[in-house]
Amino acid sequence: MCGSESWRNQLLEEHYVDGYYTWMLISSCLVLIMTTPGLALFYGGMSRSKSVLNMMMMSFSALGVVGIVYALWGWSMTYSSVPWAAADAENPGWEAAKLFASPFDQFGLSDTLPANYVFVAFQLTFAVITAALISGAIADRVKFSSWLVFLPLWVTLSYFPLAHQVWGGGFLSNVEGGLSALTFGVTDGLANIAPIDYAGGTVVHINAGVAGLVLALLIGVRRGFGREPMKPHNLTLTMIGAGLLWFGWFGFNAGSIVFTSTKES
Amino acid sequence: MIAQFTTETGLVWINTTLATCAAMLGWLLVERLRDGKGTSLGAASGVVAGLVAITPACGALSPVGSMVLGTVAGGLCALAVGLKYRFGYDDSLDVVGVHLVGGLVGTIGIGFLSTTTGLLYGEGLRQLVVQVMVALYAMAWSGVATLVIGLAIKYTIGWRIDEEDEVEGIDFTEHGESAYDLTGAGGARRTTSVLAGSGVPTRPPGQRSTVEEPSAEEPTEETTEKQGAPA
Repeated sequence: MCGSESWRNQLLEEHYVDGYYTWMLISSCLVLIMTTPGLALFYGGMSRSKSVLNMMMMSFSALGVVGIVYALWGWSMTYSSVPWAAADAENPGWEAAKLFASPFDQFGLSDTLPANYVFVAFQLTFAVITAALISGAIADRVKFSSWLVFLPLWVTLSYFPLAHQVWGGGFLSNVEGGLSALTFGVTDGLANIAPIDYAGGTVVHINAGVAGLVLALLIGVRRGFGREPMKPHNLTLTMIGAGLLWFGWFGFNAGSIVFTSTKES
Repeated sequence: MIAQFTTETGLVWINTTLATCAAMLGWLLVERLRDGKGTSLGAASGVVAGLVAITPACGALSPVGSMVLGTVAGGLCALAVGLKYRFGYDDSLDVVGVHLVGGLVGTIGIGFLSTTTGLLYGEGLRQLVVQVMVALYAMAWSGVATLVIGLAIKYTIGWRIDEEDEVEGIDFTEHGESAYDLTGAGGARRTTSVLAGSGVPTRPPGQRSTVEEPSAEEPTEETTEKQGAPA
């Protein structure tokens, strides 16, 4: 990520800030539509007619639970140690071994700079859809209450730490002492080979995919899996959902721009 | 800065779209060659596979590189979703086959296709090595964290609904609703509670609800082909 708040200060002074912040707000809305209703429809159509509502509820409840958890301690665990996002740029919050940042520093968005609210919004929607993605691996057979317990635990132990490590200046970023820097060395305090994850291949998709695999193995198969067909009950819903995911993905990807230099004009 | 904003967002949009187009076609091609038909489920899944793969790579690739990445992702994911039948894990809606495999294709594909550091652009192996390490690390972290939470829930409150409830349908047993009221008996007017009179508390165990589920359970030959089940 950007090393300091300098680029943002410059941004604030320039007229381009209007366009940039507008696009970030729109991007946040676009990513939100990916989960509800995009992913809910995509998964709902693929499930059987007797479990479509539960499938959609898993996406909607991910928005409810993770949205709140992100504002309470998710943002803080991810970014509070980064100077531009810290409450006090001179004294950023603590970070544990480049693995995660303090959950308390900006708990409940206390002391979060108002100029960063739009980034909280954008990142919040990422955490929501990552958790919601997992539900597809455990369709039709999981207690709704257990899913609601799983959500806050999983984002706290898996999503927030990985997001910090990749985007918050942690172990998987280009910082000194990170994985890449330890392997191929550093120049001027930055890794010679910066790991590339523009919008969340590791944090979002590998993370959710592995979680889905582990839970599918742990929870076991649906009754009749492999013996009876488990036909998607309404593929039109799935097509609509896929279209909405594509549409929303422009916010997901094109909203993930990070300015690398303040020198260009 | 404005130069970066105007050029990079455009490239990201184009790359996102091209990879997704290519992945949809790649998935359909695999289905056509393997099963004889390209399906709408395959097209929808291919779209998502392409979007997943281009997510980490959308700022580092050229438009043509994105098409290559998308094609590979669509083809590989189409093959990968069949693995759940071979290995017996019930990844019901293909989260592993699409998001894990697609995420790996994209994350590792950067090592080959990055226009500034990729192997295929003559820039050596180092980016590829970094991308593989990062992907493996993320898999390990997520695997351990999810296993700890999953086991904790399994041995305390439990994960599964009752077997009878699963057969009856989780919509009715967990939420007291059904998505499609095909009998019309329920009516639309709500008096006190949706659950009032629906029989949820007094329903004898194992008795099926009166909601009809036409054809949901009837096996047909076609159904085993969907999602790449082995013939």
